[in-house]
Amino acid sequence: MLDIVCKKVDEVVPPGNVQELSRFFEGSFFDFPLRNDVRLKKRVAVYTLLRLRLQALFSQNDSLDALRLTYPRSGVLCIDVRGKSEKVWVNVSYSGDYVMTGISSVPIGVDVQKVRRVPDALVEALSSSQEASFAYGFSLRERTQFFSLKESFAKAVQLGITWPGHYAVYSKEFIVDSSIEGVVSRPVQLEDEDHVASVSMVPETALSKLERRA
Amino acid sequence: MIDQEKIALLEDMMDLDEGDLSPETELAELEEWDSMSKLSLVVMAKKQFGKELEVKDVRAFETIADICNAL
Repeated sequence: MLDIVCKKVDEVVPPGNVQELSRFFEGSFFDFPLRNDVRLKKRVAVYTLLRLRLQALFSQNDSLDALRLTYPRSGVLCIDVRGKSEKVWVNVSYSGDYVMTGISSVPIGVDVQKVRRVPDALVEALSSSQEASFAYGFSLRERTQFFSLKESFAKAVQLGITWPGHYAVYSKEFIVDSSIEGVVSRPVQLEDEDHVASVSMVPETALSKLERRA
Repeated sequence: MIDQEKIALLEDMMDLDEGDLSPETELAELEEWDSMSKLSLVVMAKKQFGKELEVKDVRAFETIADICNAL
């Protein structure tokens, strides 16, 4: 199973509905408080989108009470579907005008970024030796995509974003090290020049191999 | 390095204009205080200030002044 959706915040949460939607989450199966700061609207939008996608995938006839949010490992969000043996992994991201959700049967990381300047020091810190040979030459958009891919991969494996050797991007096509079977990491195409998005999926069998190489 | 120089570095790091930040600026009210900025801060702290910031340190920052004090 794989469900990746990236939408504009305003398409998910119409203007004026933020506080009302925020209250909707209180006591629901997203049982954690949404911090009320400048990013509240995006948080409300991304969890609204996640709820809608889960509803579309799992709850045609059932209430969402059948879905339980769990954290199997630190920082990893996962939904147990009661009555079914499958484990469902979810991940969310928001930046600029967009929110993004990913739902998958393997650990998944999604990331959307508003295109912005990525400091040289950060490019250097994120690059493997192979990547360093070309990463400095990236355009503004390519640098942001580079960061976004790293971020989505880090979210999928939850081992931190800077671990050279684990994640080799061999070319501008951003092809991830394929020496570990099942690992997928790629850009998600958006019809918007100001934003980029990425998705990574790392099966649990691959996670153990990655951890051994850490 | 004085705080104003640190603030200028933070403005550059977050792709903001000069004067956008002050010591009182609350990070919770700053759209640009995102994952990229947090990671950039960790890298900058180590590279330019020789300081090792951990995730819990970064999460505890509430204002620009908190960051300046840690650098």
